[in-house]
Amino acid sequence: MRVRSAECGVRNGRRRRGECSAFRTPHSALLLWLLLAGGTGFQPVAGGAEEKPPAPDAKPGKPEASLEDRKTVVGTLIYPPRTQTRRESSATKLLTPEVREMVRKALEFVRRSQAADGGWGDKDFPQEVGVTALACLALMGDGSLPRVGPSGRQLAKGVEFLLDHVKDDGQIVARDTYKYGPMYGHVWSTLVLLQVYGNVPWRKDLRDKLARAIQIVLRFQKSDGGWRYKMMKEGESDVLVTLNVLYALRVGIAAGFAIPREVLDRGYRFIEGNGLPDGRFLYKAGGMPGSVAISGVGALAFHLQGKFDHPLLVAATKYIDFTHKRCSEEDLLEVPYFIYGTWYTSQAMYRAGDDYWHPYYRKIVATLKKAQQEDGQFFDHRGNGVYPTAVAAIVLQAPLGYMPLYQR
Amino acid sequence: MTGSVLQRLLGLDAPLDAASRARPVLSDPWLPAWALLALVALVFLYYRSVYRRDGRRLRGRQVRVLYALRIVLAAGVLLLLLRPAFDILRGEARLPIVALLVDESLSMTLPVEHDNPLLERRPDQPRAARSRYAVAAEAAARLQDPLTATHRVKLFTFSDKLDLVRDIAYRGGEAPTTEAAAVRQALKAPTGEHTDIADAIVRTLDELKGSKVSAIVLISDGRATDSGEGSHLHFALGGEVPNEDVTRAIRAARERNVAVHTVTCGTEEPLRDLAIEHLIAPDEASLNDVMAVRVAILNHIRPNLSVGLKVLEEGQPVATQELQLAWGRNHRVVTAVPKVKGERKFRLELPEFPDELTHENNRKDFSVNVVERELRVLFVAGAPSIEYHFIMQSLSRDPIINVSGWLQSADINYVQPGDTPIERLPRTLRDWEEYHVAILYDVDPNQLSNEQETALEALVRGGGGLLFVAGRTYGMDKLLQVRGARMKALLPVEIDRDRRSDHEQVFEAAFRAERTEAGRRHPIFRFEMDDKANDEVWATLPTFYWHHPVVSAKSTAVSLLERVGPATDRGKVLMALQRYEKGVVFYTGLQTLWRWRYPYENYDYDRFWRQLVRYLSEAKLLGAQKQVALYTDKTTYSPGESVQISLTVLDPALLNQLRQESLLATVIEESGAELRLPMRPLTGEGVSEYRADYRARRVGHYRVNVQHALARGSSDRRPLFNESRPFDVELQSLEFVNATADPQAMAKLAAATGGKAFARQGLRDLASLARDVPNEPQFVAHQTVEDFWDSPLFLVAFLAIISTEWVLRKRWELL
Repeated sequence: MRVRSAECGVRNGRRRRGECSAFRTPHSALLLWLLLAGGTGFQPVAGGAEEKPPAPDAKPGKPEASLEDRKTVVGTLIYPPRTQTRRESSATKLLTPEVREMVRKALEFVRRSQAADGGWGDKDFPQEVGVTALACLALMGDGSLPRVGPSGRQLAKGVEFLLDHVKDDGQIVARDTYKYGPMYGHVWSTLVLLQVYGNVPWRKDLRDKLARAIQIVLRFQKSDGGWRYKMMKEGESDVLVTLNVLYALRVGIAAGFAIPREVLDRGYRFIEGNGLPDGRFLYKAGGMPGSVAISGVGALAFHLQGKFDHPLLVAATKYIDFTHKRCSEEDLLEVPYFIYGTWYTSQAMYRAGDDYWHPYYRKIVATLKKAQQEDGQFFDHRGNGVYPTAVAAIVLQAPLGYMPLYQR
Repeated sequence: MTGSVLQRLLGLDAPLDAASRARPVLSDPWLPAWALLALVALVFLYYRSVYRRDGRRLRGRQVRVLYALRIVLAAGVLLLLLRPAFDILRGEARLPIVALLVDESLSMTLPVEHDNPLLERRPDQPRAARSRYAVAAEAAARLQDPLTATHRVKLFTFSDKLDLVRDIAYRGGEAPTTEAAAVRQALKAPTGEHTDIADAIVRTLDELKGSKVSAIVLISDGRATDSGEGSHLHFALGGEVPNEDVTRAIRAARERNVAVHTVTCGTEEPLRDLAIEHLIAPDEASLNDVMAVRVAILNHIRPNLSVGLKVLEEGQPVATQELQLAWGRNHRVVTAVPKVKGERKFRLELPEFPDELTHENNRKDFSVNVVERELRVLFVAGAPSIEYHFIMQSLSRDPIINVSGWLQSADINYVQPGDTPIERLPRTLRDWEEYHVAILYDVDPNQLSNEQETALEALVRGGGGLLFVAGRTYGMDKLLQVRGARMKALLPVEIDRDRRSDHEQVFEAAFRAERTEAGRRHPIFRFEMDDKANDEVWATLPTFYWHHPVVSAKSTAVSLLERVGPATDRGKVLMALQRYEKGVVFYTGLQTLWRWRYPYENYDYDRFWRQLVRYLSEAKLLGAQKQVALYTDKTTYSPGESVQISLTVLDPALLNQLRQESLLATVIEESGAELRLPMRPLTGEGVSEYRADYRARRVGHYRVNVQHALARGSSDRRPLFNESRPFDVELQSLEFVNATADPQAMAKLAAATGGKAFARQGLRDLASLARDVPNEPQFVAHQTVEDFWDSPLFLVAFLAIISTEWVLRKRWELL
């Protein structure tokens, strides 16, 4: 299975034949899984079991503010704290009434499509913890917590569904058989449970199940430092699954789980090793350059490590920016799994700053607007409607700032 | 002609003409009355005897003639003895006088308004050419011309003395002379240290005593400064405080029937100026942290003025703050981040505008001791909720906060988060003493020991801060069940510890949170200096769905944030604060404040938590509370002037704590002598200011200090706060204390004496003043009594009668 370039081009107003074919590989579920990767997480503040305590003069978690930031000082009455930004709102500029209406309809659809057992499924993925996890994240995007907030009831049921499907060995699976392996669903579910940790006081088993879920991920890190679909150490890794796992582990550290730093370092090294100078990333070691979404994955890996001036991060960001500016909305919508891919690219562009984020977000809104159905649903090219709608809702709600994954 | 002949015949000095009235009178006879009567009797007897003798020799007609002549002669002599005279009354017309009084005090050096009609504006005009004095000189020059057509004009200058500058002669119908230029030349520069308008009027009237004074034209800015209390002229005429001097001046003018016309130079509007009036800078600031300076800026340039206020450190610009200034006084907080340790000199600098009163007040210097310090925070959390993550990140990003996290739910071999990771939760009193603030975020009370609880309480009692964040996992009820006594005392709110958390409940109904009155005033909740702007920030506070149930805020606490809407069984207090001896405890029942990341991402969210932590740490970190601001109404006073000392308590919780306490201000003189003054709270509910007045008597450098230790505080008697502020008492001209003109007072003075007032655009009609000044000449009456008994007429008549009598007797051969 190959992932070809996601670049698309328009020449003389017409798209060239054969271009924008990155996601037009045969419609296989495998591709979905290949692309269906992502994660969310808090920025850990110097924690973790095997981390070395920092040097006395070091200030972990305190990236040096730029010179410009340092000049920007604000204050209050007597004893004001220093803050690093000005009171400027991306949200009010980006969240137009039109966008809010799109979000409302999408969330309404997500709530409606919840199954009686609390889980969500999709055409290709019935009764799926992965889809459930994405739906939960979408509902958390509006500021809800389990049993708190406009989507609190549905969110609580979704979380219960995930918790109820944590197996004794730590795997979070809702079905017995997975064609390509359960890692995506497991990792996303772990992410959701980590994010609601502390807000589900009625589930005393949450911590224990999370600990087991994390342990099984650690157990199956491959020799190249990454992970892939199946819970096995053998074989090669891919950057998408690896990034999702790293996300989950990173949030796990912040949530008080002792995770060896070496595990994360090896994972990051694997992703970095697949970077190309032009901003693209290899999906797998020795493979073809991946799509723009995979560049988003690569960029995120650098952001998570705090390597903000790494040349590959700069190149990846510019590549994503260039691609989205170059393509028309119609072109983007023709890219298979485009909506799902925006989750990675949106996080990368959000972290890159408003100069990248604003034009990117506006382009995505314009594109998604053309794709949204009357009932609020979004479809991928295979007819799945729940997970793309959940992802679209997550991306559209990003300016709200409620989701920890959208942080600078 | 007839009068002239008669005047000569009678030997009179005064002419007898139409302008004079003559009345004959008898002067005092030189003899006493009995001697005169005796003389008359003797003459009668003599003449009788002579008549009888002559009758024997003459005929009857001859006897009668002689007899008549002798009688007339005797009567004439008698008349001479009675000294006949003329009482002559003469009238004299003199020219009336107009006195021009020009104020030459220093306040007249101040510039006038742009559109003053008496001044011609030219580019690059020196300031003296657009001063009030220049207007006064122009007014005097223009007035003398029409006035000298009908009057004599005397030009005086006055300040604390009165000087005659020019006596301008009556020119009548002759063409104007070059006197105007001479007047302008004579009025060059004002030098008077004081202004005494009332005295100037009285002295002018005295000076012109005996002359017909048609009017006094007073040309001044209307500011009288001789008493040291500002414009006493204004007070007197305003009727608020009667002033004897002014009353006397008005009475004197009325008695002489002299109208005082006033010409006001300048306006009551403040002069064009942009000034840093005063600033309050901290004595110490933290390295790499925001240093805030409260500054009062006076904007008399134009409303809604946009300026960039520069902050310079050791002469180098380090920050510029764009300010939008309303007309008048503006209070702003200016911030900078000191990057170098030690005693540093800072300057605030405003841009200079043309035509400002002075540019010297566009900048102000201050010194700050920049020290390196850390704010140690211990953040204990029961479980890693979203709020926990956001708070931890927020604190970790802060340059002076050194946070150590302790996640109770973490793995046993977990490296705890924070700037300074800790391996175990502090146990002993000494361990806890290292921290300035402790945060208990929905903690598992079973993981706290008795020793830790005691140490925590001691930390707060000694000035440390404690922040309770109530959560859903454990809840405050469980904390109180397990750690009852001390935690209950520390908590600012009443919690029903028997109320079990209902985890099955779904919270879908949103509610709004609003600041209480105390919350609106509290510095923690202050994100903008301007109330309106601050309200706008708070209007962005999101709605919430869950909060920890409370019964109420304690009576010793201050509720700062409350739930809005219908009452529920969960209470309404969301955030509350109470002082606990030297420390302070804050409670928040909200666990989703992270929703405030919309719309400004971390901006307001971070500011809230960092501001809160700084506030809680203040007493311990800085050695005393900084929630008070001590200031005097000015920084420089004149001897005898009243110094107003104000202490503003910025924290309602501190105010609550001070309610039963007596505050004293100590004024320390240069010599070291101290005077303690009781500070009185200003009346009113929710008032946060204490005030004391001090009369500065001696010149020198002073310092006022207000420190306060709780009467019922712990044994170390460390003060709750200790604030000082310097001020100076020095001899200074009062001329610039209030630089605005006072046309109102001038108008009242004119009205009180029947004069006219000219000010601002009314100065265009200044020429009409000459028409209103009466020009009747002065009539002076001269009365003289002139004897005429020794006049030629009498001599001739006497000689004629006596000669006739002699000739007749000779002819009739009686001789």
